[in-house]
Amino acid sequence: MAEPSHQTLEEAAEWFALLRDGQAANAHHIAWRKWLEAKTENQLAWQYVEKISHRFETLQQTPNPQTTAKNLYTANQRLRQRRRMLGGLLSLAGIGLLGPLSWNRKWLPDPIMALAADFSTRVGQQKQITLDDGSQLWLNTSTAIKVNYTSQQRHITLLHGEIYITTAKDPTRAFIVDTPHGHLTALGTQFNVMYDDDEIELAVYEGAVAVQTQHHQKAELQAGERSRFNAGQIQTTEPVITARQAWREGLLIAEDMTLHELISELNRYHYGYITLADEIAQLKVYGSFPVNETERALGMLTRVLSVQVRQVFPGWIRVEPLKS
Amino acid sequence: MSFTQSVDHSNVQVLYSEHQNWLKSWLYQRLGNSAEAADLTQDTFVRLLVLPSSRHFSSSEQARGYLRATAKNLCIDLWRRKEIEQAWQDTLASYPEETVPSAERQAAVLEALEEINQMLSNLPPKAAKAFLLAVVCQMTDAETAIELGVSDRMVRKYVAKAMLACLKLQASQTARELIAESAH
Repeated sequence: MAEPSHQTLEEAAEWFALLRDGQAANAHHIAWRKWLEAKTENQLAWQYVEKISHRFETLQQTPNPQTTAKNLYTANQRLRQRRRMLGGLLSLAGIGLLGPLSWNRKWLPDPIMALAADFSTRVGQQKQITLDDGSQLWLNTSTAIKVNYTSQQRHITLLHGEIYITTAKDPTRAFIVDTPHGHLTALGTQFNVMYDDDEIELAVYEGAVAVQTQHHQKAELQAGERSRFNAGQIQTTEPVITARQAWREGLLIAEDMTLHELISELNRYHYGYITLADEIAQLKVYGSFPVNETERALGMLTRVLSVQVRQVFPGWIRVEPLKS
Repeated sequence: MSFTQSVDHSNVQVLYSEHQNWLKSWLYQRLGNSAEAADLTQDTFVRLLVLPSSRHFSSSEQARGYLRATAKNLCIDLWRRKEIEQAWQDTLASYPEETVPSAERQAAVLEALEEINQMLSNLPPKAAKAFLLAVVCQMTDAETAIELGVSDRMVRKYVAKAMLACLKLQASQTARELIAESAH
């Protein structure tokens, strides 16, 4: 369906303003219904109105909405003033705010996200937790999750990062992992879920996991299988890489990895940015590296490969061919 | 794994040595905090590393313009997080002591504050205030009008304006999602 035009959105906004406090005359309601029924475009625009109103419910339900509104207004106005103080109108597109947020998040884990989570880790940190039912959960670097157990279901929401789960048996309550692209139902099992860029990677080590994407694609992965998916599509299954689980012990085990893959992986654990010279990117690497000690891991590389490591400025480390 | 490799980074190093002191003091003047200024200086330069390699600056002035723009966005981002956190904490403080909201609930409030702040960010202050009173506090047009000292008609105008801004944001988000989907 085509997007509603500006004109239609404007009409929808006006209807909302007119009707929202419930004081409007009946004639207005009748006119609104007519407008709604006239075009599917109008219905779509109204769906947006409903979606937006829905977002306000959380704040309406705070004990004192007046205080909440005032706090938010103050925050908003102060931000506006500070923005003005910086001078000039900012074009937000292209750089910064609306720019490549996904990489930004890597080493600037949004404190907001961490606050919203029940459990979280910083960059270069792992954490193991035991949930109420005895299920074991490991959080990898820069990860945030919410936990919601009810008498019917056990829900984990993966907001960011990577988790490894060993579920405890509970025939009465399903164990579900929600991700931005779909949800996973554990069928008595051990599995790893990583939210990486715009996809989810699932690896099943024991039992089985049922996948259902947001757009209702379905698959069931058995032990030894892994796959990537997004909201619309599940990719072909591949065998798991057993060594990948070693992150729980803070280790990255390289078996026939390229240096490029290794550095990409180390970047996830490093608060800063590691870059690599092109000419050595395809070198093969073997060995196990401590993921949370970037300097030590890179030091190990310099002993087995002809490479050197240089800190160009704080936050940027460069791996280069060894200059003799 | 978003890791660009074919970018020429040598000029970032040059830029760093030429402009880091300047940028740090520029940031210090705005933030009034040397630790934050140092952090954002570092983040600004690290951001240059992920630019497409085509990005070259023909003059020192141009480079500083770009650094300044990036640093400005980082400042705003930092302030936004602080302000929203503050609003969130103040809101949580308004809960009566015996009813501490669950973690889920707290997270939902934070998320809502963040989202609504974004929706309001480009509205005139009066429209933002009218919208918050009308929608968050669920006041009638007449009540909102008294609070703001304007006419009922004006309240409806403000609310419509604010809702339109939200709708446009919603529409552009939906469009982005659709594009992202068809790209897969």
